[in-house]
Amino acid sequence: MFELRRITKSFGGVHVLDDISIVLKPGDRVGLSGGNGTGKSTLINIATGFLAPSSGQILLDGHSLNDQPPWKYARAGIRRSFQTSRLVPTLTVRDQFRFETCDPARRRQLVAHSALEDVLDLFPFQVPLPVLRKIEVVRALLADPRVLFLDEPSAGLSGEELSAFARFLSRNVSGDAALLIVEHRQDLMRVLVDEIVTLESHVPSVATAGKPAEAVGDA
Amino acid sequence: MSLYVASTLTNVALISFLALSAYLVLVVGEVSFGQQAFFAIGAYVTATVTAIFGGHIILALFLSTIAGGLAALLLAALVIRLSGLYFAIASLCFAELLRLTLLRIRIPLEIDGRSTGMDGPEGFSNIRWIFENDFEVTDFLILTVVCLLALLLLLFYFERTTVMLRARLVGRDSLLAQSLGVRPDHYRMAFIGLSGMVAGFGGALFALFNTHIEPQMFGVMLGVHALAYTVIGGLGAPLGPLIGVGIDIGLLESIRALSEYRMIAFGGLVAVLLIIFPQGLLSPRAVNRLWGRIRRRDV
Ligand SMILES: Nc1ncnc2c1ncn2[C@@H]1O[C@H](COP(=O)(O)OP(=O)(O)OP(=O)(O)O)[C@@H](O)[C@H]1O
Ligand SMILES: [Mg+2]
Repeated sequence: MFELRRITKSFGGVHVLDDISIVLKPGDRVGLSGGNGTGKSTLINIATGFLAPSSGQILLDGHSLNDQPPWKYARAGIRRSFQTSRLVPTLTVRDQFRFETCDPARRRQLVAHSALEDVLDLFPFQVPLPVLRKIEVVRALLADPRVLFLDEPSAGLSGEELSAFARFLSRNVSGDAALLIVEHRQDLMRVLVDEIVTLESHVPSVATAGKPAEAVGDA
Repeated sequence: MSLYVASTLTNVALISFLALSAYLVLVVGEVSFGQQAFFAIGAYVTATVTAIFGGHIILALFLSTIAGGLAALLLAALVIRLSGLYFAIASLCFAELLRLTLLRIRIPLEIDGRSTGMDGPEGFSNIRWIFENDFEVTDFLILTVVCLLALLLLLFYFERTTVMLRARLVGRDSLLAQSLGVRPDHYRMAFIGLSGMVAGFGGALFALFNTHIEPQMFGVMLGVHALAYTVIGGLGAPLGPLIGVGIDIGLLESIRALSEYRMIAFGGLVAVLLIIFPQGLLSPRAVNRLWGRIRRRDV
């Protein structure tokens, strides 16, 4: 079980996150929404070790991960994608998947399910942005993460592609894994997540939770 | 083969070890101006082992490799928290510190009526291994080239491994590497250590070939050249640094008319090449594209 407990974060006096608590259990599907600059990416950065919270705790199975470097989070099965796609520009798509020593059959399966076969021999700069994001998601999935954070993975996808992407995610994120996805599109949220956490831009910012497509209730 | 050609080729091969060691550091994203230090350590260790203790060449090469590697690990451990510019400066300081120390160590010895041993600025003379073992210049050339080819084969094999892929990732984007569970400092340490081993080995052969070594041979310019070879040759494959060495020593030095202006010619050439090929001749992308063509492997 992964837990963010009473996380606050301020950047030089600007409070971005104020007392956020989130628990992710195996199989959880959580959507994270909120307007621009409400701290969604900041929350993911904190949850994956890329940023230290101003206060609060990050716990995996009850053990604190505070002050650990990002690679420890990753090795513990906490994986992420980045909001601005982050791939190695000098490697073909195929090679972007070689960092992980995973079962080749699983790799083939993921590539097939995500319809990436056609771009395998291309370099990132030859591939459209939405596809790059999908590549990142596949890369994160190769490790069979326990907790997966996706930062706006569907940006730029058209309606048709979006539902394919949603199918891909629900099919390939393991049933034992927890997924937290930053997403603005309600239609994707509806098919994918069971719970939505909304960050609000008020200072202090507060998290509220509710059912998908439902008005935001109290946390 | 004329003596001149053979010894030029031997020099190309010897400096290639140094260039490859700078390459290994660049792969993990650090810039070292101090690889000549490990080269020097290898040279002095082999000089000591063979000329003073009459040790076997295998032992000498082995100890030089280990000593170079350990010295590099020491440097890496001291400055692993530093990176970028700071590492570059630290490596430079380390190498200069070593050179200045070598200038001060004077333990002259006389063996069989010949002066040898470390003698400060006078250097270490009478490293007579090649004479004692009846090595002609061409014999030594073959020895050096065989060693270099073996190293290259090893590196070529290594290139396509996950370890190398991750090392390159650490060099390019250390945060992305971490998000994939790769621990950057381990890779940096390992590759810097490895680079020290390669330089130490090359330095050992250098001492045997030159029969006389002195601290001035291992100055900053040697390190700068080693770095420049990889920068122009490209970071895409181990062949890159070798192309760089070939261009400088093989081409420029052999054009005798250029001799006085070699540094200027080399500097100009580096500038021109970098304007045309900013990523070096064998850039990572070019190499990976080639690989993609050669074998369209399964995922
Ligand atoms: N490293 C940083 N230093 C200073 N301020 C930062 C830093 N990172 C984020 N911020 C600020 O924190 C706030 C939240 O940023 P964040 O990127 O987390 O928002 P977001 O919800 O992901 O927004 P978006 O929808 O645009 O992706 C913003 O006002 C941003 O300017
Ligand atoms: Mg964001």
